[in-house]
Amino acid sequence: MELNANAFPQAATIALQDVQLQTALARGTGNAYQARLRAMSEVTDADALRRQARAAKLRALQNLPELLERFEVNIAQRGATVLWAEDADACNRLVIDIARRHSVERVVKSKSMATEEIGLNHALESAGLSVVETDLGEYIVQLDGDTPSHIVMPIVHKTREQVRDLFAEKLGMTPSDDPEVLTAFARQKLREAFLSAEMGITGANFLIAETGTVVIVTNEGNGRMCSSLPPVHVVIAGIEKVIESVADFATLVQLLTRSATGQRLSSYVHLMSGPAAPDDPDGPSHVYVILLDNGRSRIRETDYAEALACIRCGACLNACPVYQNVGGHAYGWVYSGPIGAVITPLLNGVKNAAPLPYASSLCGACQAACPVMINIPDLLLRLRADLVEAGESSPALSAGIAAWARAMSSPRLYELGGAAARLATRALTAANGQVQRIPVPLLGNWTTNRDFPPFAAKSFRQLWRERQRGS
Amino acid sequence: MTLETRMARAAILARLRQSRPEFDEALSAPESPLPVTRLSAAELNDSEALLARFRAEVERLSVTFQHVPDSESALDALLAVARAQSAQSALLWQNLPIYGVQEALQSVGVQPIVPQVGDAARHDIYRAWNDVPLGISGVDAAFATTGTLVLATDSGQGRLPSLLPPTHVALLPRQKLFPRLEDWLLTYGAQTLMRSRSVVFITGPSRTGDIEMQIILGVHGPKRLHIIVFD
Ligand code: SF4
Repeated sequence: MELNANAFPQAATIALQDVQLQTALARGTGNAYQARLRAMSEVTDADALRRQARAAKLRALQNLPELLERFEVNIAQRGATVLWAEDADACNRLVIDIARRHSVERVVKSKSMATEEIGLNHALESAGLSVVETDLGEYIVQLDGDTPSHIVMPIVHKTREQVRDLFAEKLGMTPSDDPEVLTAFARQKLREAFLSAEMGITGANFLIAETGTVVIVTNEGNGRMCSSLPPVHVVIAGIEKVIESVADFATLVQLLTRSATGQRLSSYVHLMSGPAAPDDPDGPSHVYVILLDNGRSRIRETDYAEALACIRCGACLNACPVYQNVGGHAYGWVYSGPIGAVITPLLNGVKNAAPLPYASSLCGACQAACPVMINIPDLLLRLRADLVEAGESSPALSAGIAAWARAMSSPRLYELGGAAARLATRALTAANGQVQRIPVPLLGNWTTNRDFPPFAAKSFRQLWRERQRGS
Repeated sequence: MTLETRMARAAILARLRQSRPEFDEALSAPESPLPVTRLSAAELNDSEALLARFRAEVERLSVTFQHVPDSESALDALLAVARAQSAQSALLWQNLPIYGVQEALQSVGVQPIVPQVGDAARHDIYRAWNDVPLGISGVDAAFATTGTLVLATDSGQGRLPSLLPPTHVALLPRQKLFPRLEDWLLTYGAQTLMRSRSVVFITGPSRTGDIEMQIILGVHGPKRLHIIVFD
């Protein structure tokens, strides 16, 4: 995916004016935030469990080479092929090679951040393959030529009316804005794709070394479809996904789903370990697992190794006052919110994502929400220091964004949990509907320098495109 | 492909071995990990309380729960579901925990289909089964505190009956009900995962909240999950 993180200030300013986006974000992050609090309040001992989960992930990071080898031996024994990829290009080429070898034309995919990170869909399409995203949110994003804006809720930025219009325009559906009707329609379309695909691609939430198991967690069942129906199943997993044991998995999977959506367990936790056995009635004939580095082993060598413990639950996004207000697209890459502000600079170089370490008031809500207790504020501070040391930080820019992030987090204007965001943006709107100065020096200048459209029914992406064209 | 990936493997592993991250806290694996979900003394010691907890959990997830005294009444309950769905056919496991399911289905005009999929004509077979309204499976284990079913593949126990049809009926022998996922995993997890190529934990029907956080059931997998517990 194209990197646009340096445009964070501009993108954030635009996001603040998108009324639909503000409404959607307040609802999405607010619901998920409350759901997690409820789910974590009923466990035996939330903090002790978070320490247990954290220890499991950090232990795995320490023993990563041994665990990866153990995973490889165990799953290969049962007929899966394990491949290793240094970077995005290498990984994409491997998938294309596998597709050619098995004469694949149609691919179905289950949601995976790693494949977003390496731009897999684009590479496969360029190689002439048809690729269908099958997670409902990802399917909508793909139809719209959009990108996901949240790790767990990919279309948290979209309204039902936008989905209605998209389905009517792209799929010829009789317009309806009932999510039930929209979902039933998508089910039909996607079922067709599942039945005819020759390859299914999934990510992995965990790789269990002890048993050579790939764990795929979904609510919709699309992960199971992709890993059960097509003759070829390809798993693409970052090397940091490996964990030691079934016992560690028991803790981690439950903290993942409770933190992500507040569910005790997601609808489907699929544990697979290779192609169908000779007397299995069904299942794939070929399974490939691609272990992707793409910068992870380098991060592990630095003081930022802890960031690799992330289990992608999205809780820090929902808890973050900055994310609640600007949404995921403003961060300019695949990973957004607090953990995105750490990972994007680490994977792409700090100077290519210079504003992100400042896109936080260091309020600590992210760390408090994190099931593996990643010290995100501390990592952001270190990144700021790195930027200064590299001479890459413009003092005006960083001071401006930092002050703005504090304003976003100020309880006077924005209460934690979301809904007040709308009020705050309204406060910036004059009677004629024009957006007034944003209460931060740098961003304020940016808004006064340009003519802003009023709060029209324009989406963030429309506004953003117009701005790109105009400047 | 092979040469490049082999070189990548060597290079990645070499880098990973070269340095190990240090962390402040103790990281050794706990001898007995803290369980995640709470369990009352009653639920632990009294099978009625445990079953009641399981029932409460699955019903919260919009699952239909039925408890019947024996396998004969389980078969009746199953046939009643088939009738209610006006099913003409059903996908099912060969090895179900109660006898005579195939014959009983046939006797009420429901064609039993035991999937057998290989590489030949795979896609045609899927298409032919796509409209089958009912899937019937057994259960390898169930967890009370999360309302979860475990289905492991084995000969005669496939993936499709619990995946393709809009209604999935799971036949659960009561002795397969365990208090918690974490306890079961510690005792049976590794062996089950080593034995079966696919093990799925099913907790409620297929669902999504992607459009404005409104929960919709039956996105890709079954819309209705019906659990029949029998003693
Ligand atoms: S950093 Fe923590 S809270 Fe954020 S997505 Fe990762 S695991 Fe979840």
